[in-house]
Amino acid sequence: MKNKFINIAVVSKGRLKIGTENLFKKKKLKILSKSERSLLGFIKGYPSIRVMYMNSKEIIEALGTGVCDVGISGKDLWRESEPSIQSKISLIREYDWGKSNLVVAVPVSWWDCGNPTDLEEISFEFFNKKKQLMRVATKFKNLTREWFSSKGITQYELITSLGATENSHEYKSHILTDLSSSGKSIIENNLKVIEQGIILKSSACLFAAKSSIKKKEIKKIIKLLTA
Amino acid sequence: MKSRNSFNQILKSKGFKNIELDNIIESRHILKRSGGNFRQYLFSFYDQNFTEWSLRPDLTISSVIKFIQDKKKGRTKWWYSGEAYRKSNIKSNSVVKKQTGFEIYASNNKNKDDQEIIQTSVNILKKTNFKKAQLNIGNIQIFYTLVNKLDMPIRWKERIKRHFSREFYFNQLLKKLSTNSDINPVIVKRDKREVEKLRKQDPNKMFSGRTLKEILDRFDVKNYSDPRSESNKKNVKIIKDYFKISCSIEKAPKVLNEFFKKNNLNLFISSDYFPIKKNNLKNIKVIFSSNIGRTAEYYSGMVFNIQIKIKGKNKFLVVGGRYDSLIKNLGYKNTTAVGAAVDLNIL
Repeated sequence: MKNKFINIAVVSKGRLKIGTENLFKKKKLKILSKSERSLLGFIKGYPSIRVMYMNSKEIIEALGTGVCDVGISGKDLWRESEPSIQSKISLIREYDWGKSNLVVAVPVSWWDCGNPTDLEEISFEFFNKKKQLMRVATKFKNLTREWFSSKGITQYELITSLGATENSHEYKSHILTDLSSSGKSIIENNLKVIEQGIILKSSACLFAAKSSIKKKEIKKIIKLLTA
Repeated sequence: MKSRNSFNQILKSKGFKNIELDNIIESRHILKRSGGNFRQYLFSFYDQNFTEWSLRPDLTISSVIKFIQDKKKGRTKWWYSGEAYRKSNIKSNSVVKKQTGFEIYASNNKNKDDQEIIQTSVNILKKTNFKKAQLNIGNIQIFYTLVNKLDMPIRWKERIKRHFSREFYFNQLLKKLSTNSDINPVIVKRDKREVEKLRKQDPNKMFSGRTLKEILDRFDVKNYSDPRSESNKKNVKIIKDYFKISCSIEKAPKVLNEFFKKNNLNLFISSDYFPIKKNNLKNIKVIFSSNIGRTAEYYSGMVFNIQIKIKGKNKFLVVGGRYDSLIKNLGYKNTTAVGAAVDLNIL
């Protein structure tokens, strides 16, 4: 199936979908699909290019496993993916839309916590005085662990959060790491981003599977989407 | 194989009892020892009761847990051999580490037991084909004492001691210390105003796992009790210079005392502090090195390694040291411990 078509994966809903549609429009690429709900489509004038609508995380997996040749998704998800997947994908272009930051947020009431050095000290306070680990809610375990490690923060426990991470400090964690675009949600949930607390600056990106990148047709598509 | 059998003979003849260690350990014990960051190196899984287990990442942790579970009392000497399983950031590293370990728990005489562990390690070296080796000895307590004597905020002292074993981050910390870059005066000024409003509230009120008192106490220590000091640059230089000290073990007390005197630190180290006092132990050069023992966070006193050369590269055949606080940190009574591990992968 893969040999017959060039598969482009795009996000099926949300901000990234709108951004991708705008990009395609700008490049005069019209996606044709059977209905609005259909998750498969073709590009007008390019019968060999198949457009597959997917979840943004799934796009990274699909590129890593070679199901798709080219895809548009978030840089955060690519960087968070397992090394075995990440190493099989090339980042071709970072767009200036779909922007958000993965940040470290602590309760506003932690007045003594302003930067990573403070956080490191507080994590030891939990460990030494309370005999427990500081709990960190996140959807981004790998990126969080990497950042914590670079800041000398070792005494913590990561709690998986699947959604509504911003209020998890109220009931299951002490602090959190989460994506923030405007910062509004952070403030509204009585949180603050610590100084030097940006783990990753993310935006929508064009990716290609390394196994496909040298193919003539793929190069053409990449040129179309990056010109 | 031949040399491994002779290692076992040495350990038996020295009175170490052979024990079998569990292959899997409850992950919480490992995380308690090494923190959540260590999870990235573990091979872990859940059982039917949702308890998380890990393949043992090193044999020391298994041994300590066995010591606690067996409720051992009094001086205990044992040895074990087997594989440990740990992921690595270095692609070429094997995830399987073959080791022989030996330990003495609940020392009556710490210096004597330190000597015994080092002497046994040297005897093991003698059973291998390595003709040239160097025995490096250090002591983390000397570094801790030095830091305690420096004129700098207590929280900085604690931080520097805490990160002795994380060399990369440790160097970043020194940089921060020398530039005083952990406090932003603009933010501190703003926060001071806000904090004053909180002082009248119930000190036991909880904010995400911390009481208001804990938050305010730390705020005060950080912003009032620990003035920013111009002498921090000098302190950083002293620490960096200390790590450059490497000399024959016989000269170590003299060199260290001269270093303390030069830096106006009221410290004195006697030769009794060192478990080995001769420069030569069975034709092995003995060196005092201030910069060793930085690979495991649980070392707390004497540390040593036996360095050999394989194809021109330095390798460590034996690594060991004292970890007196580890057993207590895992929730058992305060018990001293000293031990070493032979890296069987490089034989």
